[in-house]
Amino acid sequence: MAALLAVGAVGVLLMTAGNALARSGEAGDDLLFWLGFLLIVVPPAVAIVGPRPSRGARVTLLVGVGFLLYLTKVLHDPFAFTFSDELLHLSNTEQILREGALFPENPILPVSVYYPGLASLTAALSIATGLGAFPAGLIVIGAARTLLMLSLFLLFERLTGSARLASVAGFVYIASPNFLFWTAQFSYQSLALPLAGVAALAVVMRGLERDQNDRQGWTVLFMVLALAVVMTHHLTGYALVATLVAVSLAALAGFGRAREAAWALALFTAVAAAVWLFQVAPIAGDYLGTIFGRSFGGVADTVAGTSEARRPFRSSEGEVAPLWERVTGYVSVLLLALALPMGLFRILRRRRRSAFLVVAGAAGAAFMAILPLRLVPSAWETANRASDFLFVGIGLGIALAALHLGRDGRATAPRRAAAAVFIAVVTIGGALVGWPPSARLSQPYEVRIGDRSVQPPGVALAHWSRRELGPGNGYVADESNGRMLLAYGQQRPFTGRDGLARYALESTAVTPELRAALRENGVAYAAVDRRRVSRDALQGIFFARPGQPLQGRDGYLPPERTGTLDRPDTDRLFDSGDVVVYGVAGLYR
Amino acid sequence: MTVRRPAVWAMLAVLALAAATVCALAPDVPALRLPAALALALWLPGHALVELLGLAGRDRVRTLTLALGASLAIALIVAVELAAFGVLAAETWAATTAAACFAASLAVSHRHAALGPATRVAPGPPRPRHLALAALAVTAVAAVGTAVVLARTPLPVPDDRGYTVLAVAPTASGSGAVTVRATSEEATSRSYVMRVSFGGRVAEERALTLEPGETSEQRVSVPPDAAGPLVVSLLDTARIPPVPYRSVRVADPRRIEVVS
Repeated sequence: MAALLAVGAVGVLLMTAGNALARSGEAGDDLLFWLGFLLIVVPPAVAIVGPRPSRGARVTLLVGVGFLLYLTKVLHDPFAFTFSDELLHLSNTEQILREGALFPENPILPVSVYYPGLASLTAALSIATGLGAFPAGLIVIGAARTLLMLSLFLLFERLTGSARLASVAGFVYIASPNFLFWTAQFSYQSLALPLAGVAALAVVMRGLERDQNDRQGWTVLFMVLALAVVMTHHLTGYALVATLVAVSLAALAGFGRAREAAWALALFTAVAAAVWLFQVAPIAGDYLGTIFGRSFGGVADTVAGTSEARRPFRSSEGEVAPLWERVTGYVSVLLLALALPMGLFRILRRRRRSAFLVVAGAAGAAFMAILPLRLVPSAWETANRASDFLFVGIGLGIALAALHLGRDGRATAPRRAAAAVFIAVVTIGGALVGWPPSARLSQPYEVRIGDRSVQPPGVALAHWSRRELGPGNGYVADESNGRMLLAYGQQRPFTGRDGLARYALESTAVTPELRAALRENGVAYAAVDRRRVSRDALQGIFFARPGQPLQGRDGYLPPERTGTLDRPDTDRLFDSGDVVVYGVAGLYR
Repeated sequence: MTVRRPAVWAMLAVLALAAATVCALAPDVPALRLPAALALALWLPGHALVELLGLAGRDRVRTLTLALGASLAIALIVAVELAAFGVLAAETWAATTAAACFAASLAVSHRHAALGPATRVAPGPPRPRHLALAALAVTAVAAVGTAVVLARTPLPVPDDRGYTVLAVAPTASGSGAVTVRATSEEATSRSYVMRVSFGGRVAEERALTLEPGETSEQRVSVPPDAAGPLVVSLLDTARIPPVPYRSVRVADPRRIEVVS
């Protein structure tokens, strides 16, 4: 076991070396990255498929691999939070630290401030330890990742009665598309999901207990965890309610044991979530309604043929993933689809054992059922986010299928090889599906130019804005500079391709309507970045990689798209070459 | 070593108080604050609650999981509540979290008193110490340590990734002057001509050389009779004739102010 984790640590080093090569623009970056990934995941996976490892060794390997993969995300960007959502939550945390109060302003993701669990906990840890928000955030998400792996293992173990099955199911969960990056980022779902995992464990344990005192103990523990989930993330709270209702309905229908029904817990969580929604975060209704409405509308349009289907492995800019990535991605889904029915059959045979197990099986089937949503541009994100919850069922189903195939207990060489190939393909496939190829490896953030360390112009813009303009100014900006202005500049930026920022930054003329919109929203400044990549929140904040053109992957916008605000009645206050800040208050005074 | 389980409550209570005391009273000793705050956020309150609810069993994995999950939940709820009242601070958060832990520990003591004499938990089998284990640990630490150093080492990029910022801001409200700052993040020393003009008429030109990392700050007074916009340009002298490299402009320099 120790040797496997030591090999995994070498895997972390290889992945980091791959990232370093990517930042340097050298060849071989992809190869090292994936080789390191395989070293972390495959040897422990092959070991736990066999019957020999003890329960303790299985837990240690599962948690160890989960944490090592989290470490690779940390080392992907070790200087600062750089993922688009991370900068939004960093801003929420910094504002709580500065003002000591909840519900700061976040014009890019307004709903996030009304779910302050992550920001408040990180702020508390920051002031208690004396660390900055960045290291405190890394600790919180690291603890959450550890908790996720532990809770998954125990949940699977209680549902199946087997530590071996539980560890295999946990390893399959690592193949979830969002495991490598999305649920490792500093974001509210990354904390809420593990807390919900422990809450689900408490529900399962409560259902197994006959003793009334013990049931009460689990109930109280569940209530504490459910409250924390409700305060932290909207969708995770609702998913918890849905899970409890589904388990209770399954128990009512005769699956598992009658005492597994958790109507009271479902009611408690539903009331808590509803009170929070209506009393604290009514904006969440509009936010989620817009997302789901757009998804349903997109599905209808795609089915009707009035909207073009999304092409997998092709970015919105037309970038196509390499052939091996496309093949691996498709094969991974195919392998899961082939193995899952056998797992679901095993679950049905065990339907008397646990209602939760049946619900997990249904979740696995639902994951497969909503895969076509990935072909709908406006529903892709919904399907992707749902996989964090539904993949629990995939883990269980695949583990049951795998161990049924090897039920004689012999860990022969061919079987080990098959397990290695299976785990390698599905975990790499998951990672490929879950994150854009161009953002998968590190990009240059803090670089060496001449003899000095230099950060990107967006950082200089944010610091200049805070220092010279003061905090809280209304800005319009692209997706990447807007996030820097929010997180480090303490500004009030409007971004987004469909909103005010697009209107202001992409108009070819200053119209009376534009002047009115700027005045109504109190926008005093506009940051105009001529690089197309600045509209990509995952890539726009970085320097261009060596070997890429200076202006980045996608070149410059045409001058007529960036020069509209360069007028006699605006001020041109900041010029870094690519980024220019205009004072636009003169347009409506 | 033999452990008396009922002593758990006392240990948790003492540790919680000690951790809160360190967080509140030793702000300048990070070596103490960090473990104390981590214990309050990740272990102590959750462990106390799990003990209180009677959920801590012989399964250490389960106890660890529940303690970590419950601790995060309690620390989170306490932080949200304190922030809601505008009193989130190291002292208040540490004291409230520790108080929750202390109260749970006292309740555990009553629970154990009601259960009667303490039970003794037999120690587990002695763990073998292997040289190989130590070597593997050293290997793992060395690999991760090297990865950290590698990841945190800024790598060179081509010199053309460097940039120069030219910015203008009011010196003070109503002072009739602006401050022009030019900051170089270029790879090498760069020479410019800084040209200041009002209404298209050049008022001043001067040579400016910026070393990497250097910031040049210049106060530009606005004449009372200045007509037209103030334009400040950096002309790149490496090109012949020099061409504008960076440029800022104030539409009405007599009325420049920061809009907040």
